[in-house]
Amino acid sequence: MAIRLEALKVRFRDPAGREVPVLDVPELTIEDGRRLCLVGGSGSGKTTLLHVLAGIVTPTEGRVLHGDVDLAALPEAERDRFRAEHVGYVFQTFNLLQSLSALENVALAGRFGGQRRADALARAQALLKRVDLAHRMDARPGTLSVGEQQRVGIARALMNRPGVVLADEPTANLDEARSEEVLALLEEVVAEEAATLVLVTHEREVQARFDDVVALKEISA
Amino acid sequence: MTLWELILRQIRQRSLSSTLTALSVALGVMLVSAILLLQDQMERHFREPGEGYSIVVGAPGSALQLVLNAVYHMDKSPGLMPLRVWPELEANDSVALAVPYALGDAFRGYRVVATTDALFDARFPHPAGEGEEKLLEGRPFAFDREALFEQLEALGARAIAEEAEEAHEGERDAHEEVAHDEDAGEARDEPAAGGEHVDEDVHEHEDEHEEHDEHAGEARDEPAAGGEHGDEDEHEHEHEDVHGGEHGQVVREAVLGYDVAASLGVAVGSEIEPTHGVEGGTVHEHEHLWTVVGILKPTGTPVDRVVFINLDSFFSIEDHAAGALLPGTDEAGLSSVLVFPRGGVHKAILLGSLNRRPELQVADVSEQLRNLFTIVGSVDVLFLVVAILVVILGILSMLVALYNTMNERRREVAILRALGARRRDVFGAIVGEAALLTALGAAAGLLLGHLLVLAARGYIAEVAGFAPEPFAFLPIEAAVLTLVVLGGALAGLVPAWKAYRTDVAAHLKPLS
Repeated sequence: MAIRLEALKVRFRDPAGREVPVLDVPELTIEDGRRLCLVGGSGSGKTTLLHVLAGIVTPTEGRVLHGDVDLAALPEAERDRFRAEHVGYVFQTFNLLQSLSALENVALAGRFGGQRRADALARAQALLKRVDLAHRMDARPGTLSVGEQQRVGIARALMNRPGVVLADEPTANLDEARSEEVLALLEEVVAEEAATLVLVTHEREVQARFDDVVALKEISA
Repeated sequence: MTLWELILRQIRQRSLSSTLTALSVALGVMLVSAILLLQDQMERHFREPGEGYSIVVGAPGSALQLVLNAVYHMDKSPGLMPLRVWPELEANDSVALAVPYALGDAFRGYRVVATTDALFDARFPHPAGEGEEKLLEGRPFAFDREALFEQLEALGARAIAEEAEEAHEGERDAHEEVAHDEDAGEARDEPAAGGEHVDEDVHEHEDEHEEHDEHAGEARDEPAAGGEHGDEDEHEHEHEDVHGGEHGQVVREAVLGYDVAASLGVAVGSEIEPTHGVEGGTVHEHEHLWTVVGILKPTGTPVDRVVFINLDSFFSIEDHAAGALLPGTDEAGLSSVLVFPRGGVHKAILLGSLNRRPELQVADVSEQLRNLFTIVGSVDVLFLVVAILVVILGILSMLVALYNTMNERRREVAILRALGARRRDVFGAIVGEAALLTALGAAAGLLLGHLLVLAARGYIAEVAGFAPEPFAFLPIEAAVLTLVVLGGALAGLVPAWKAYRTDVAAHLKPLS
């Protein structure tokens, strides 16, 4: 699914009630199936841009087009549904629900995406096998290594066969060996699912693996 | 994995706080349930057995006590009333049926009531039917009115006996209006006052109760006999055979309430020997046996726990006969008379005329029950209010517990939202969690309430005279359950609103 950002501006209100600009992207196009790396210093708005692409944050101005759908123009409930069905999200700190097993964490995303229970469980099992966690399906996140947790996170992001996968510094919490392993896995499975990948990182080695790299600059107020 | 499954997991993950929260709701619901159950059963216990009874006449004292004693076979009798009132009432145009009661004896802990064959009249409410229709087996006991008045005559109250007999046989036609009853009563007082006096030294009243011995009479499978004359009014008598050698001619027969026969295993044809003392106490056994001739059908009322004997046989026992005189007089006495008026205005007429007689206490059964329910109801309402406050406190503690966990759960909410959960989903999940916790607490509370009644059953039976059915389910309990769950869901709105407003982006940030 191609993504196009037009005249995108995001401003937040500070505690004093003043509007603070955090993101300004005049134009950005990500072709369907491409892999884009977002880089930039702290406060440059990398994570905010991912949130905008996921429909978690609504831009103050501009359009966020996923194919023909302008996410910025959708009501919140529609954005939530779009995110569940078309966007996969991989977090830096995994963000797995501690009360659920690895399998349940993955399957839960399928339920939000409208999958039936049996279908969601079957898909979750297949994905966990794909990320080499067939033997850890019933394990709680607290008993998994950080590498395993991120693999569960990747499987969860792919649960609804999303058109786009957003990864926010997915290897930042991993050592070098694990980082390489997880990154390779992420690239493989995203390619298998024919999804577009947008990844935020500050690691140069990671940037080198990507077709396109976009650098965001901090906006001065 | 649905949101509901997720809620269950969350509850399980915080099992200790979830259990404590549900328990705080359960305690309140337990109290509400137990109070409602006891309230309902107490009302049933008193209302249903009281149905069909109308007026009770007895000695001056408490009208409620009179009703409890005569209808519910509880409490002490207020004392003795003039026996002559009974035939007067029988002769009264407004009276359909008058049933005299003489109490005081017991058989293995069950009260013995001496009465007439009016017990088997269709108008006597429990059990329903007439004559043998009231009986599970056997036949009604024999009652010999002439023998009764002979006993009374032999007792020394001859003039009274004659007067009473005349009242029964001849005066009904002479009564044109109820006012005549009073005149007739006054007229009868005169001969009574001038009648033969039984030596008062023979009767010596004591207010102390006789010692109880519930097992008295067991030795023979026998009924134990006593009466107000034996236990409640407590007369100790020097034994004097007031009937000379005629005791043997009196037929002594008993008809047992269903529970008496069932629990003691006494069958028709058995002989029983009652002892003095209404509550199973005894001064001594009478050494007279009554033959069980019938067993009443079960009624679910206190009648099931009574041994009925023929009134003439009661007065054939010298202790009873001697104690059957009103203190300081030569008037024969009874414990009470159950009066069943004719329809229409007759009850009001009777109440009006009987209330003007200072020697009697007249109790309108339905009015006394209303008074009783008003008194008991006020206490119940107080208990219920306290119990409801405990429920509210439980729900509030759940609100506080959920609200306090919301800070740490906002990250979970943000994750769910990032996965595609809508605001209303997470709002519903929190409200659902609150409702589920209260539902679990309320359900446990209902169960505990019934178990509490089960545990207190013996004590209640001892104190209140009835054993509540602990597992009777009241429709109002479903309403309580619903209201408590709604209250819990309502309380869940506060933390749910907090979840609803969660800033997803802010709470997805990596933890430091």
